Amino acid sequence: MDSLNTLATPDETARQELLSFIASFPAFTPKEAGTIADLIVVRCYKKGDVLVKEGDISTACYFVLKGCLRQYRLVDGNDRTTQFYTERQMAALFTSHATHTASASYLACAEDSILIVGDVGEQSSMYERFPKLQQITRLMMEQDFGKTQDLLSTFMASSPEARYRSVMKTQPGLLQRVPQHQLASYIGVTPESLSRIRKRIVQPK
Amino acid sequence: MEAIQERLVDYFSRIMPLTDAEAAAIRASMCVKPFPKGTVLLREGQVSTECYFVLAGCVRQYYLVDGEEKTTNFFAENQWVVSVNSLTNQAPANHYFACCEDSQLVVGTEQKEHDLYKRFPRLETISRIVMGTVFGELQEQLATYLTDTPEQRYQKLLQARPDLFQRIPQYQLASYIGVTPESLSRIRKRITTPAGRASHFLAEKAAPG
Repeated sequence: MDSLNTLATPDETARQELLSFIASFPAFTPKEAGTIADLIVVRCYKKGDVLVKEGDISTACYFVLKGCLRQYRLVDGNDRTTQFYTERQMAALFTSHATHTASASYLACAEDSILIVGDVGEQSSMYERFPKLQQITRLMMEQDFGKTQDLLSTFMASSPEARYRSVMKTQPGLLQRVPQHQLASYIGVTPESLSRIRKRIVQPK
Repeated sequence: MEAIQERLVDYFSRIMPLTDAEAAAIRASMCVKPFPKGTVLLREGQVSTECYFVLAGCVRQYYLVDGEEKTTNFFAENQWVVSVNSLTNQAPANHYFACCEDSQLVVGTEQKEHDLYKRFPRLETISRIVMGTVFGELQEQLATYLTDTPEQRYQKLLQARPDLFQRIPQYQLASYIGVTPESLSRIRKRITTPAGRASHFLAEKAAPG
């Protein structure tokens, strides 16, 4: 999708953000961090930018260095939020590496964001040069995966209140950052119900 | 090597062609075990130490909610059964894995995995790609669960995994779809009768599942 290029500006801010992220891993020397940063695609996006539309066929994945992404579907014309991705989370809107099915969801920037843009099937020479990077990628994905697994199960097995608690635990930053009606949609309740749930839950100071 | 056991090597090969040495190493390190129907692989509160690849059979994931089983997933051939949070963070699991059929599973541990990666770095590449793919499917599952009606979930399940309907008891399927067994019956009748196929579009709007 070439429209992505008109939205994004690969500028110094993005590179700096990427560099400090890579450098935060003790596995790399400053020189290695710099080399790796040059090999990775990182872009700045504005709030409202749409990365993936319903019907798109994409194997792209987006890793959030800074900002917030929202995943949503249009259900009977209604905007239904299904996920938020914040710092150090990855959004991957594909169902199968092999079949390249069309996306049923939209992915958009809920805030100005700085994202690493990659491909899930990537077998680049970058990983061959830096096996540590691949290991780190895999481990981070593992953590994210584990959280998503728990989130899915909680959503399937629990009440809205339990879902809210789950979000409080796994994505606490979200609660202040996103509009209440979207948060309510995500939890699967009306905004009024969400208010009631929040009142019921005593937040530790 | 038995044909059924080759499934794991085939699975990896489809992602990236394996050298003879890599394929041999996988076969050599593979631990394949039979598990009779009903075997509980992981229980709530237990810290997981193993992950599984299904060669044959089916594994069910469920939670105990107020004493009732809530089914959240089924894993059949060529799928992974792993409680990632429990395994990688050594945390107590909050759910169960149980075999809902006689199954043959490849049993893996983190240690074995890391040893293989050390010897064959390309296997870590495959692992990362597998993880990314399965992760994507998981995110899709979450999004679907949040936005689909029970009837849509039923349709999608019927389309994607029709074999489950012969293999799994109705009450577990109902739980997975998120309805009572009675509702599931009603959904099935609406969808399979010719009149039902036409009228279920109206029914979907008019009546709850």
